[in-house]
Amino acid sequence: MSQDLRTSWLPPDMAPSSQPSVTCTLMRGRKAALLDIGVDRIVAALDGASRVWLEAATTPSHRLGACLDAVAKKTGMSRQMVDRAVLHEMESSLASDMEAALDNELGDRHCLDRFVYSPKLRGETHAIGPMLVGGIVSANIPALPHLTVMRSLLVKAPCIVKTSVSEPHFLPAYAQTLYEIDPDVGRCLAVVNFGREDDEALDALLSGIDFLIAYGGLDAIANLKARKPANLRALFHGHKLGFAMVAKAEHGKDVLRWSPLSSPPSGGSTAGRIGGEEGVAELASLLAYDIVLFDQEACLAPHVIFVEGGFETACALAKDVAVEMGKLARDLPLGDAPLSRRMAIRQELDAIAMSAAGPTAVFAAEPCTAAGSARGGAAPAGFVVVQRIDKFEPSPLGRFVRVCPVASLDDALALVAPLGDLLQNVAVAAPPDRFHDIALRLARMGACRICPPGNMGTPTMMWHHDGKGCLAAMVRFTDIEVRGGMRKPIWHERGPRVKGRGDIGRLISRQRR
Amino acid sequence: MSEALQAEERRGIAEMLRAEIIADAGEWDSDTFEEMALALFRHQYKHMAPYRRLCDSRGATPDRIDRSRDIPPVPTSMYKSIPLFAGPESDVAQVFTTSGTTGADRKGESRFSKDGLDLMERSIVVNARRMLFPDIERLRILVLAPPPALAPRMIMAWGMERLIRRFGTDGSRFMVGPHGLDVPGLFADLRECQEKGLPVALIGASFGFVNLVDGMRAKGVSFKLPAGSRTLDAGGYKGKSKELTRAELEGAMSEAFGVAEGYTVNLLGMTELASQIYDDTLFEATRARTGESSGQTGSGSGGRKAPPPWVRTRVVDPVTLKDLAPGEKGVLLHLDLANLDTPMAVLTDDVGILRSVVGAPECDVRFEVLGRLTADDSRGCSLTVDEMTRGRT
Repeated sequence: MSQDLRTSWLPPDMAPSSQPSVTCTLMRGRKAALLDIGVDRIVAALDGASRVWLEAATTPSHRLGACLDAVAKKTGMSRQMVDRAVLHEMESSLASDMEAALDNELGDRHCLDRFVYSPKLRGETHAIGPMLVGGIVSANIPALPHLTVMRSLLVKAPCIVKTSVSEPHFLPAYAQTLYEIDPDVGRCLAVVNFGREDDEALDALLSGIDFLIAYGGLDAIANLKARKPANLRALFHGHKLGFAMVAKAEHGKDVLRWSPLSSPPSGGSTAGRIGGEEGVAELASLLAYDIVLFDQEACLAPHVIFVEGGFETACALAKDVAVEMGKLARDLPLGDAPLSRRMAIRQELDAIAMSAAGPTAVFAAEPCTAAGSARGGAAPAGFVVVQRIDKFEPSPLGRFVRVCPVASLDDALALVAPLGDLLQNVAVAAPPDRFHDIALRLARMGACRICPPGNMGTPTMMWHHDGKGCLAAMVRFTDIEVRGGMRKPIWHERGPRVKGRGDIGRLISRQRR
Repeated sequence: MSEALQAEERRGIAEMLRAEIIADAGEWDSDTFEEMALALFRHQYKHMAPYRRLCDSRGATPDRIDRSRDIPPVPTSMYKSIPLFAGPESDVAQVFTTSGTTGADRKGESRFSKDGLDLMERSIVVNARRMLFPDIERLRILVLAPPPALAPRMIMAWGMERLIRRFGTDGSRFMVGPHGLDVPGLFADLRECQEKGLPVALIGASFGFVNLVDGMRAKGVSFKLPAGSRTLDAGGYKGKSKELTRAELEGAMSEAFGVAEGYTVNLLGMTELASQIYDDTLFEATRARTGESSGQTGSGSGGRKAPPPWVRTRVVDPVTLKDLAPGEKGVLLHLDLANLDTPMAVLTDDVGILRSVVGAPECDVRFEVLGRLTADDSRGCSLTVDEMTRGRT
C-alpha cells in the first residue's frame, strides 16, 4: 500500500499501523468503551478542545501557533484568516451549541446514553450511533474538519478521518488536543492521510466503516459514491452555491431589515436596519464580510449579490462593498492564493472588459500592502463587478463578487431557480412583508439556509447542514412503545364498518381461527 | 476606414516586421523591438474591437502607452469565447483551433489573414534556422503528425509543412495518416537513414513521442541514427499518455533513436502564437562553437526556452500583471510581434519561471515551463462552478 501516513495521528495506546483496514478494525473495537461514556462527558471533552483552539487562535505565541502557520501555508490563506476561521468554528462548537444541536435533532441528548422518556412518543427511546464513522474531509475551511469528529463522537461513534492532502496539519493536532483533555474520548479518534489516487487505501477505509461523512468536489463525491459498498450509509457534503439578495431600499426610510426574526426590540439599537446612507454603508460592510470570510472558500459564501434597482444603484452599493473589503483586508489580508485562482480572476476581469454586452463596472478593493509584495506588487484585496446577467455566473472566488442589478427580486429568483439542489445559503435583506415570501420560494427551490447579510459564513451547529439533520441521520433509534397492543379486536372498534373486512381484519380473523 | 485601407495598413506593418525578422535573426536592440511593438499595438487597438474595449477599460490606449510591457495581454481563454481578428472577417484566410488540452469544451480559435500567414511562415523558418537547424542546411524530416490536408485546423501541421519545404530533403514526410501513425513506414524510413548515414529530424507532439518510445521499448526496437540527427517534441503530454519527467523522456528518446545528447529539443508552441519558442540547447551549443556565447550555457541549461528576438516572454503575476523575480513561479506572458492579426500580447495558462543569467539583456531572456495551470480540487464544497452548473443554466 502506497499511502503516506506520516502526518496521521493514532491514539498513543494503539500500535502504529499504516493500513487503514487494520486501523478500522482497531477503532471499531473502541465502540464499547465509548458507549459507557456519558454524552455529557463527551460534550465536555469536545468543549475543552474547542476552548484550547479558541485560545490558540487568539493568543500570540501559542504552542499551537506553528500548526496554524502550517495550515495557512497549505491553504494559501493568511494566518489572520486562519485564526478567524478557527475562531468562528470553535466559538460555535462549545458545550451549549453541542447540547442544543443534539436536543434539536434527537429530542433529549441523553437518549444516546440510555432509554429516556419521550413525551411525543409517549414511550422511551434510545439512539445508537454507528460502530465506526469514516470521515473524508476537505481543506477549504481551516478547522472545519473538526465538525466531522464532533458529530461522530457526539453520537458515540469512534471515527477514523482521512485528512485532505492539501491540508493535513490541523486534524492530527486537534486529535492530540482531544486526547490530552480526555484520553478515553480521544482514543476513539484516528487520523489517516493518503493520496487522492490511492484507491486501495480508500477501499480499505470504506470497507471498515458503517457510516461515511464525506466532503469534496463533484469528481471526488462521484468516485466515492461509485466505490462505497452499497449498504454503507453516508452523508455527502458536495459543492453548493451561495448568493445574496438586497431588496429595493427607500432612502430615509427604515424599510429593510436583515430578517424579521432578528428585528431589534422596540426602543433598542438600530442594528439590522437599512435606511439612509448610514444603513446602506452598514449593509455594504456586512456583505463585504461575507465575501472576505475564508476568502470566499466556503460553500456558504456569496458568488453574486442581486440588487433590486438599476445599474447606478448597484454601482453605488458595489463601490461601498469594495471599500469595506479594503478595510477588512487590513485585519484579514488576502493570503497567497494559488496561481490557478489568480488566473481565474484575471480571466473574469478581462472577459468582462472585452464583452460588448451592456454596461459593466469593476471596483477594486484597496490593496493590502502586507500581502502580495512577493508577487510583483500588492494586488487589490478583492474585486466587485457590476454586471447584468442572464444566467447565474459563479465567481472565481478569492474575494470576487458580482453585483447584479435586477428590476425585481423575482428576476433574481428566476436566475437561481435552475441551480436547484446546488443552492445553499442566501443572505436576504428585504422588508418584513416580503421576507417570508422570498424565503419560502428559496426553500422550495433548494436553498438550505437563509440568513441576514454578515452571517453567511457563520452558521450555528443547529443548522441543518446541506439541509440534513446530520446527527439524526447517523443514529438508529430503538423505541419502547407502550401505546400499542391488541386490547380489543380491531373490528370491535370499527363496528359496522368491518362489514367488508379489510386486509388487517381478515388477517386477524385468520389468526384467531 | 474602408476594408481596402485596413488591408493596406496591415500589409504595411507585415512588410516592416517581415523585413526586420529576415534582416536580423540575431539580437534585436530594444529600440527596434519597442518601435515595432508599439506600431503593431496601435494597429491591433484600432482594428480589434474586443481588444480595444479591454485596453480602454485599463486606460491603456495608444496615446498613453510608450513601452511594450504596458501593452495589455489577452488571456488564452478569451480565444474560446470572443472572435479576435484585427480586420474584417472577410480577410480571414485561415482559422486554426486549439487542441483542446486546456480542458474546456470549446476550442480556442486563432484567425490569420494572408499577410499574417506569410509573417508566421517567416517567423517559423527564421527561428527554426536559429534554434533547430543551426548546423545543417537540409536533412530528412519525419513528422509524427498528420499533414495539413488531414488536419487543416492544426497549426502544428501547417508549421511542420513549412519546415519540410525549407529544410527537408527528399523523403521528408508526415507519418500520420487517416489510420494513425504509420509505424512500419516510420521504422523503414529510420532504418534506411541509419543504413545510408542520412541524418534525420524526428518531429512531433511530446505525447506522441512518449507513446512511440514506449511501444518501441516493448517491442525491443531501437535505432542508432547518424550524427546530426535530432528530435523535436512540442508541448506537454498531461492526460494523453503516461507522464515522464523531461529527463526521462529525453533519455528514452536517446535510447530509442540513438540521438546524441543535446539533440533532443523541446518546443513551446501555441495556436495563439505565430512564433515558437525552442529550448536553447542547440542554439547555445552552436553559439559556443562560433564564439558568440551569451554566457547562458553550462549546467542546468536543459529545458530553458529562448524566445526569438521578436518575442519577449515575461513571468508575471496574473492579477497584477507585474513581473516576478527570477526563480519565482508565475504565468507566462508573451509579446509576439509575428502575431499580426491576433493580440500580440498573450497571457497563457503555462506556469513558468525565469532562468536568465543575472544581468542578461531583456532580449536574451530564458525561461522554463513548469506545467499548465490546473484548478486545484482540494477546495471541498465550493469550487469553480462551471462544472457544477454545466447543463443547468
